[in-house]
Amino acid sequence: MNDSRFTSLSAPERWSWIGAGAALLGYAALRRGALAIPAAAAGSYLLLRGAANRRPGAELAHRPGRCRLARSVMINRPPDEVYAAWRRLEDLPRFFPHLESVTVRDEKHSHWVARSRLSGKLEWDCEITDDQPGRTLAWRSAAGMGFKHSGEIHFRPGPPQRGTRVELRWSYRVPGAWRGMLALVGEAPGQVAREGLRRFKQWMEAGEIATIAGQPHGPRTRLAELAPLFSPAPPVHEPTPLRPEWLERTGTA
Amino acid sequence: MKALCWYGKHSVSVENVPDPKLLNPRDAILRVTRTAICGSDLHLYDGYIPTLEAGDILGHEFMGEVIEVGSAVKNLRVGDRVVVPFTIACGNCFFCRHQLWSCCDNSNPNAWVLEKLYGYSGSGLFGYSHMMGGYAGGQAQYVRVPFADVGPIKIESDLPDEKVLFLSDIFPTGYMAAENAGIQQGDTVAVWGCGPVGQFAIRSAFLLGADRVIAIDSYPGRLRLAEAAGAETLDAGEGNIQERLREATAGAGPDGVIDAVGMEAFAHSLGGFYDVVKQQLKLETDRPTALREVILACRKGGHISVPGVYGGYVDKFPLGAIFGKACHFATGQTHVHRYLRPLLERIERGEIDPSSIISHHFPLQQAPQAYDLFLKKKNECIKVVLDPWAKAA
Ligand SMILES: NC(=O)c1ccc[n+]([C@@H]2O[C@H](COP(=O)([O-])OP(=O)(O)OC[C@H]3O[C@@H](n4cnc5c(N)ncnc54)[C@H](O)[C@@H]3O)[C@@H](O)[C@H]2O)c1
Ligand SMILES: [Zn+2]
Ligand SMILES: [Zn+2]
Repeated sequence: MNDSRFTSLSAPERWSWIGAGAALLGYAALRRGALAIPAAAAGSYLLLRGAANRRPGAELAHRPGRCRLARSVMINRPPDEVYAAWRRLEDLPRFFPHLESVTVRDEKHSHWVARSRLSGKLEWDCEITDDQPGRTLAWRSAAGMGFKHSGEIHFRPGPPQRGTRVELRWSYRVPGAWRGMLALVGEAPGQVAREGLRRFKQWMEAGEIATIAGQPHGPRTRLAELAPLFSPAPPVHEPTPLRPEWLERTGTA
Repeated sequence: MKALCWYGKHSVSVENVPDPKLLNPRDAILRVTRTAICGSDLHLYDGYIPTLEAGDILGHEFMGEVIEVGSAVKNLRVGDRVVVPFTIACGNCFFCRHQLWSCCDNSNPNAWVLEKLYGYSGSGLFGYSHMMGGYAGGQAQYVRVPFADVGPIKIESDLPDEKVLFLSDIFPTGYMAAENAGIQQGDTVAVWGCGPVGQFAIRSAFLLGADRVIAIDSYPGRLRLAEAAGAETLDAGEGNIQERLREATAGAGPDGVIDAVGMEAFAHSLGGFYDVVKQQLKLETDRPTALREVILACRKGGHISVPGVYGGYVDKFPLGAIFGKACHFATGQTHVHRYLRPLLERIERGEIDPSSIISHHFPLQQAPQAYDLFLKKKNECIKVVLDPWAKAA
């Protein structure tokens, strides 16, 4: 990036950011109390920005950049079966915990609702732009709504006896400042894609999605209760039923 | 129900918690009839495994009676008596299909944590921290068993619980350790650690045809139990293990060497104290004191087998010795499912009596005392079995 807002700082400015960050961190460490956590967060931010030689807040001024990502997974089932399961778009919230619902309107159009820890409820319409059964599905979100992105997913036969190589690609715009924040709350798009594909694979291979949500435990301390809050793999919303074809097609049980 | 919960280093207690329920279609719920404390639980108790949370239920060696099955479990019925492998595996992924059950792709809901640490995540485990899946363990009156259609093995004979319970972990673990030692006719196998895993490694090495087994530890009771199985013994406290092993094998070194000690090896040399200090300072996560000895002792072209658990990074790992002697190296969580049927048959045929290593029985209520006893190896404690239903004495 050679945007002027992202060029290096003068040494005195840089060191003053680092100093301010360190001072806030020191305050947080010594004082504890209610202000400690915001102070520590702000302190680390200033310190890291200073260390990276970037002016704090520069991200805010920056236009949302176009990002691309690709994540793939090998699924031990044939491509037709994997494609067919993905094509039931209304099932996708099972795999992507941030999705609340997908409502299919017709062959090509669907409505999506998601909930982000950072930005709350997001809604958008989606249009399918390419559909080749057993091979590819591509889509685009409608202009001006929710999560602006386009995506495609490919299903290719893997090496002999290895099932299907599934590759998910997204292209989206997220303001620069948000990218780091999303990562902090476990919603970095790369991680969301990775966790979604992992659960999709579980559903295809194991017929269900591994979970511990709802199991017993002894009394928890406050800290232990907070732990799952920022996980990129939050527990599934509700128990998933067995994948309908699972018993017949896997030949187990 | 009552369950043993973890609350921090050297702090566990029996709590009243809700009964487990079915969460997924392939689950079953067991009424636990017997459960055991494993050397691996000591790593949790000593605080060496991260991502445990206060209130987590421990325990991965257990058996019981099926009281409820999910809609997809067709092979088990209410009332069946089963032993459950401590590794949780789906049965259908590439790894399960290749008998690498402890590498299952689909059973760890928190795989992302281990991916950051190890690159890829192994299977989920019962009662063994959230990075290993966070599954509630079986040191409890009831337990939920995921993938109950592929894991548990039914016990149809009237063998007592004590003879089959260890199919859940340590018997297969000792057996896989012996397999990994690549035993051939005439071989001498050396085993470091005469705890439960070492005991089964010793017995399995003989089952697999080892000519001699040399067992190393410093607790007299444990060494005696190794002798009872036919092993020769070396007291580690007397030092100079390398020289004594060289002499015992006429200068060649043992053909197979097994580290049944793991990351909390005791120190009886300066090198050992170096690891204690480094581990305390968190400069290394594991103390490879025994592992280094194991590697150095191995003969040229021999097999190094490591069932002992290591969690992170170690220091001064003698890779050059493995390379320079062209040794084989094999390790990992046990692929328990692989061994259930063949080892149950060995028990049924009377080739081995796993209950012979049990030193103590306690009601679950007294599990906290039992942890302390097992950790400090007091009263010649070797293996503790817990009864979740017995009244506290
Ligand atoms: N791979 C697996 O799947 C698996 C399964 C179960 C247990 N384990 C691991 O196996 C190891 C042993 O388990 P256990 O239940 O027998 O535990 P344990 O703690 O009862 O036994 C360890 C023994 O090693 C001895 N020891 C310690 N340092 C030694 C040294 N330097 N030289 C010789 N002996 C030494 C101790 O005195 C003790 O008797 C543990 O690390 C445990 O986590 C692995
Ligand atoms: Zn164990
Ligand atoms: Zn599997």
